[in-house]
Amino acid sequence: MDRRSFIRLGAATLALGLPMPRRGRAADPGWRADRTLVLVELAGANDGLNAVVPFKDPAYYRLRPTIAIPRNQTEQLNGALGLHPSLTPLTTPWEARDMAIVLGVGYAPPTRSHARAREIWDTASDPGRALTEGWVGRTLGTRPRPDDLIADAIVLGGSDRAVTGKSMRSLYLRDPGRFTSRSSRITPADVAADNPALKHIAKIQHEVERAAQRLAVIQSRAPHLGARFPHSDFGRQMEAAARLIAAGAKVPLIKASLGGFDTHSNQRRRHPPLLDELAGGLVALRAALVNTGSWDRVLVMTVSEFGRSARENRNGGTGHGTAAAHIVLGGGVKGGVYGRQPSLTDLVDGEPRHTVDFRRLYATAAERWWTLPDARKALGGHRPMDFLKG
Amino acid sequence: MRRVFPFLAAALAPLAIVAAPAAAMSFEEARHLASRTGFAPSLADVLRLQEMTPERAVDWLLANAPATAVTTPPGWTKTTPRLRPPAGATSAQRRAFWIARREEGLSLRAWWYAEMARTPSPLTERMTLFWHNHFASSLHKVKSPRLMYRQNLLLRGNALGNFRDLVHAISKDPAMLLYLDSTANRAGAPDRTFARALLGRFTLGPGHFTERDVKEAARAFTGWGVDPDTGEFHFRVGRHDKSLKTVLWESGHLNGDEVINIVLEKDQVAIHITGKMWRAFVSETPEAFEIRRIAALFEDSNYDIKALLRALLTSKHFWDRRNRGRLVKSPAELIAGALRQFGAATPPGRMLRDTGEALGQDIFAPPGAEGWPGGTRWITANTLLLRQLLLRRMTLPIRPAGTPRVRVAMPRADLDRWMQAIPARRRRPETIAALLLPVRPVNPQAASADPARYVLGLLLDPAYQLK
Repeated sequence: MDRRSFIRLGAATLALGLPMPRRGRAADPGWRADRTLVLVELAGANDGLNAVVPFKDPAYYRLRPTIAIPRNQTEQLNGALGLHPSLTPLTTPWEARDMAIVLGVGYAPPTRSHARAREIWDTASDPGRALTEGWVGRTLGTRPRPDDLIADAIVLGGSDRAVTGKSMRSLYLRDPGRFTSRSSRITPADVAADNPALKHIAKIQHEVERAAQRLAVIQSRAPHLGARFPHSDFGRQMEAAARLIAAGAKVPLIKASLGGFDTHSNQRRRHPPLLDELAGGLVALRAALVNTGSWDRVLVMTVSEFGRSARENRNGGTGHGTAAAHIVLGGGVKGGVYGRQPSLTDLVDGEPRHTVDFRRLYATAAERWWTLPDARKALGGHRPMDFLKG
Repeated sequence: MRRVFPFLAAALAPLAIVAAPAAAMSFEEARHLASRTGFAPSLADVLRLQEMTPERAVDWLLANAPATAVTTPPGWTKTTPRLRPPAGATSAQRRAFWIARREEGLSLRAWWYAEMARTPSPLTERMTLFWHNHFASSLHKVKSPRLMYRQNLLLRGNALGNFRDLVHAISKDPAMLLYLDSTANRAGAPDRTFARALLGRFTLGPGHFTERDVKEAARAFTGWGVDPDTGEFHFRVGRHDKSLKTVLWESGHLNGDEVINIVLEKDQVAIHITGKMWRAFVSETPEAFEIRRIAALFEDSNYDIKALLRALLTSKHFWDRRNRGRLVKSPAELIAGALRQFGAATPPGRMLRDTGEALGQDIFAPPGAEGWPGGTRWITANTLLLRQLLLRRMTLPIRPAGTPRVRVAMPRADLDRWMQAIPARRRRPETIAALLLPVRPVNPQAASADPARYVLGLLLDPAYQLK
C-alpha cells in the first residue's frame, strides 16, 4: 500500500489502540492466525430436526404429525438424512464435500431459558457454572497475536459475549451499509472537556466510526466477489464478511447472526424463510470466497442456544428443546455426517439426549483450525472432532 | 438575566418568604428538570413546567406522582400459582409449569414498559426503577413473576413515600427473601445474607457495621420466612431466637422490626441514601457538604422521600448550567423514552427482554445484588451501536405499499407524524434539538436537511444518550 494510506491506516489503528501493522513479515505467533472462523448464530434456537431431517425414523413423523417435512420434500443427503427444502442450495457445498453436518449437538442438563442458554454457548461453561468470559477470549485471547491482525474479532450481528475478554480487541460493525455514515468532524478532544459522560460517549462514537471507516476501506479493496447475496440483514453480514476476507484482512473470528428462530407457533410458515435466508447467505459467502481464492482459510460454523422440542405443540410450533444438528463448511472441511442422530424414542424429560457436546465444536475450531495447542483445557476438556482435513 | 434568576431563587429557597418572586424558567431549564425526572419529555411536558418557577415545578411534579400504576396488569397477576411444581409432578407437568412462568415473565416486562410509556407520572416510574436497583432482586433467581410483580407494586407504592416504611416492607417481601436465600431463617441457624444486605447496601452502605452486628442482627430475624408453596411471608414464633442481642451498640431482646428501627436511627443511613439519589438525579460527583445538609433534612423529615427528592431537585448543583447532559440514560430510560416520545406501540415482552439484555439491563433481572453499576459503563462500542440501531429501527419511515418488506419486528413510530404534531412556530431545527438533546449536538447537521432525517440525526448523536 502507498505511504499515505499506510499513515491513515496507522492513525486509525492508533486511535483504536491497536498496534500498527508491521511492514514486512509478521512475527510467527505459533498458531494459524491467518485462518478465520465465521460463527453464524441462529438466534432464538433453530429447529435442527426439521433442518436436517431423519426421514427414515418413524418416530419423527409420529412426534410431528403436521410440521414434519415429508420424505419426498427433503433434499436427500444420504440414506437417512435429508435437508429441509429451503436448504437446497447447501447441496452445492455438500456435493463438493466441503460441508459437514454435526448431529445431536447440545449439552446436559438442558436449560430452556434463552438467556441462560446463550450464556452457556457464549462462555462454553458447564450448565451448572456461570463463567463470564467468552470462550474465544479464554482460548484465542490467551495467546500472543501477530501484529497484522485487523482485530481479534469482528462482530457483524448478535451478541458479543463470546468475544469478551480482557485482552480481546473486537470491532463492531452493525447493519453495514444502512448507517447514515458521516465521518465525525469533531474529534473527542474538542468535545465538552468538562463533561466526562459526553466525552466518553463521543470518544466511543469516534472509535466506532473510525473502525467502520477502516473496515469500509478494507472492504473496498476486495476483488470482485462474483456472488449474489440475499437482500437482507443477514445477507449484508455475509457480504461484509466476504469482502473483508477476500480483501486479505486477517481476523481470526467474524461473528454474524440471523434471528427469528424461536418458532413456538406456526412453524410451517415461519421456519422456511429463515432457512432460505441462511442457505442463501452461506452459499453466497462460499461462492465469493471460492472465487477469490480465500475459501481454504475460512471455516463457517452455526451455533444456536438449543434445539427445539421433538414433539410439536398445539400451535403448529415447537418449544425449547435440547440437541440439534449444526452445519460446518469451509475449504478445510472433510464433508460428511458427524456425531450420531439422537434417538427419538429414548427421550429424557420428553427430549432427545445430545450425542455431541457443543464444546467439541469449539475445541475443533480452537485446536484444529486455529491450532491453539491444548485449547480444550479451557473448554471443559472436550476433544475436537474429526471434520477438518490435515 | 433570565437565566440567573431561577438559579438565585433555588439557592435562596429557604429565604423564599422574603426573597423577590423568581421568574419562570427557560426552555433549557424546564427540559432539564423534565428529563431528569422522567423519560424523554414531550414538548408539552416541557412547556407545562416552563410556566412555573423551578420550585413550583418540583412541587408540582411531586404532588402529581401517584403511587399506583395506570396500566392494567396481565390477568395472571390475579392468580396464585405455586412457586414451584408440586412434588409429584411428571416431567411434562414440570415443563408446562416453567413454560407458563416464562411467558408470565415476558408479559411482566411488557407491562412495566407499557406503564413507563403511558403513565402521566414518569417520575413515579423513575423512582420505582431507582428502588428496584437499590433493593435488587432478580426474576432469574426468584423464578416467580407473580412475586416480582407484587414487589414492583410494593416499590411503586412506597417509591415517593416513607423510606422507613419501605425498608420494613421490603424486608418482608417474599421475592426479596427468596432472592437472598432467606426463606427459612431459624434460631440456631440464623441466616446472615439478609442481615448483611439490610445493614449494608439497603441502609448504611459498606464499612459502617461489623461482622458481629451482622451475626447479631441475623438472630433477630430468625422466624422470618416464606412459605415454599404459597410464597407468602410468615413469622414462625417457634423459630425465633428471643435471646439478648446487640446490634450497632444497642442491646435488647430484639426482633427484626426493632433492628430495622435501630439501623434507621443512624445518620449514615440518610447519608448513604442521599448519596445514591444524588448520583441518580443530580450528578456523578456528590458534593459532601451538600449531601450532609440534605441527608439531615431527609432524616429530620422522618425519611420522607419526597422531602429528599425536593431538596435534591432544588439544590444549586442540580440547576447549575454545567450540570446539563452529564448523566447517561440507562437502557430502560432509553427504551421507555423512545416509546414515550415517539408514541410507538409497546414491543412484545420477548423483544424487550432480548433488547434489554443486549444493552445491559433486562428489567426485573439485575445482574447481581448490587444492581446495575450504570453511569458511563452503560456505553461500550457494542452497546452504543445497539442503542443507535434500536433508535433507527424504531423510527424507520413507514414504507409505502409495494416496497420490499423489511422483517422489522420492532414497532415503528412515524417521525413525520411526530414532527407534524409540533406547532409550526416551534418546528424549527434549533427547537427540536433543544427538546431532544440536553446539550448541543456533538455532530451538528445542516439545518436544511430533510426533517425526519434531521431528527434521526439528533437521535443518533452521542448527546441523545445523556440526560
